[in-house]
Amino acid sequence: MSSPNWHSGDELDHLVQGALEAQVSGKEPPNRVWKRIKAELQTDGSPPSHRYRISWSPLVIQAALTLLLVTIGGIALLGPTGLRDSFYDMSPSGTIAYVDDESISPGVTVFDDEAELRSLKADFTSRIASRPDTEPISHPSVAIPRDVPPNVLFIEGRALESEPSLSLTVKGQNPIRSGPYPWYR
Amino acid sequence: MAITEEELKLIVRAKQGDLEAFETLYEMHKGPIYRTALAIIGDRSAAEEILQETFLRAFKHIHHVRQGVSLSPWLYRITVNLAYDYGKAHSRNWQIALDSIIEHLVAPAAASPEHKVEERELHELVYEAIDKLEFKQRATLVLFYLHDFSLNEVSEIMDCPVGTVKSRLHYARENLRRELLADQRLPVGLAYEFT
Repeated sequence: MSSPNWHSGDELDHLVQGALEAQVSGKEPPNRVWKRIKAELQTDGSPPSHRYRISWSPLVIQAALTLLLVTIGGIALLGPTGLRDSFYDMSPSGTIAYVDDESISPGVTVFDDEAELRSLKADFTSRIASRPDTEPISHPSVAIPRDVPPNVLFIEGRALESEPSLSLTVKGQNPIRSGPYPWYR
Repeated sequence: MAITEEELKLIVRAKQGDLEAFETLYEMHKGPIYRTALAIIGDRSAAEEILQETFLRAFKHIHHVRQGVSLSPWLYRITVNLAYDYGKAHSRNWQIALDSIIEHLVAPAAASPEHKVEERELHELVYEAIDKLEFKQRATLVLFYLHDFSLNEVSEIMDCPVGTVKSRLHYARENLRRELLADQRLPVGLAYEFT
């Protein structure tokens, strides 16, 4: 850091240098300056390079957890014979029917094969009320206790297709949701 | 301006938002930056404010600093620019920091040798003349004489050609000479030296 040609060394140069040094020599900024800077930076945040930089670690952890859950879900969807056709294939191997019979206690009955269900259906044919898909249950002849679930016959989609007589009680792949109970509306 | 290995690492860390690294950088540069502001402005509290703002800006824009380059020229440039803004916003002559007045009053003049007092008075006289210079001449003078920067370094800090630095130094000296010669307080022998 020298420029000998311009630092001529005459009296004026010495005086200027001396005057400037006398003005500031030994002067140090007080500690409060850094405290103010620090406070300002902590209030204002980090520098832009940092402020606008995404912290990747939480995202990576989140992504790993998501991947893990997806993998577990995928494994669950894959049966021993490969990928199942639909979510409904994950239902129990039997068929679930909610039946309208006061003699049968409310609940879920699982039928191991379709033939059994059909025979049951044949027994119930006379008692199952015919009703349109979209209309609420109308069972004037059947007294429905208020404390039992609504009368829904639910059969898997494929069973429905092969059993036209059940079409009145099954809506697509969804259970018929109708009845006097508000939680089914 | 050469950069040390330590400063290089500190800048990298500060760019990542490391406040401790930035504090170390502050400790490295605070003295010269503060003294530059003080020499240009002549007011302690203003110099503190300029120092504070310089480092706030430096931290906020540190990601713009090129790899392997010292913070020093950039810090000086911010300081000079802030001092310029301060000078424009404030009338410099009336603003004398209270602590400067107190320091002046409590100075143990009686205990000092007479020639020391004379020398100090002379420095004050010269500084008064420096203080009257136009801002760019004054800032150039401070960088050149106080920090002993080369013409190239001053031109880098002031963001102007080397020729402009030479010109400013030349006119600054001329103006100082004229001002000091016109000052009746200047010792006769010294005034002769300037002619």
